[in-house]
Amino acid sequence: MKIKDNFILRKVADSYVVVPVGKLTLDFNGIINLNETGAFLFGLLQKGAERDELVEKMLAEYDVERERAEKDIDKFIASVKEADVLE
Amino acid sequence: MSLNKEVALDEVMEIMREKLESGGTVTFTPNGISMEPMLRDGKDVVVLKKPGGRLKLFDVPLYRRDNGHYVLHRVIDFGKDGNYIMCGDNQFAKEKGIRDDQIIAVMTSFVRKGKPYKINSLRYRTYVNFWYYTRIFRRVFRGGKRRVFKLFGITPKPKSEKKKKKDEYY
Repeated sequence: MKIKDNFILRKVADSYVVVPVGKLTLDFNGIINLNETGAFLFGLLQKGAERDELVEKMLAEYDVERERAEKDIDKFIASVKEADVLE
Repeated sequence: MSLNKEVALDEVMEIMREKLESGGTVTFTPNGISMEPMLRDGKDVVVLKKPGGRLKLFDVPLYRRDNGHYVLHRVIDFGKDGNYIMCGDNQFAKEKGIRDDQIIAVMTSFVRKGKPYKINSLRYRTYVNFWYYTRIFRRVFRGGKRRVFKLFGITPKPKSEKKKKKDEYY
């Protein structure tokens, strides 16, 4: 899984938003808003990563139980798929 | 971990300004009732771009108040000092002294109930003119309602309190 090249992650105040680049219009209605964990996963997906890799890296980075991490990552993957930002 | 689709305007203002500076448009859903009936709270969508120069009468700009609030209201007049006088379509209190340096963008079109409208369309211009020139009647009617309430011993909320609440919307 890899995020399309024309999406970048921008930090705003306490969170992050995913912004399409190279387009003349910017629609804030469809904008993806991420918290820090979400941004961490998004960063990994920008380089390209599979589910297992996301889980391992999240366990290494955050103090979280495997079960919880897997559940959250599945939710995250479903969301990015729905948002149509994957290649 | 969340992936919601709502962001606060002041959080993304930097990104918004960049897009506008590069000649692009920005689209978002404004909150608040001050521009009803044209824009319904949290339902309709506006498309904005950077204005080419001075705003014209009836333009709908997004501007930043000196207190930091972002507002989308209509230019209804010009002050002697050259500053703009603003008012929401659903408001009566005029806001004077809005300067060009406070203007961020101006509405070029909007989407209401899923239907797009350009600001140069006949239908939109008819609405604007109708709404502007009937403003005085709505104002009298509202004042009339207040007097009727008073007659029956009901005290409506003081005007200033209501206004304050409205001002929080953008």
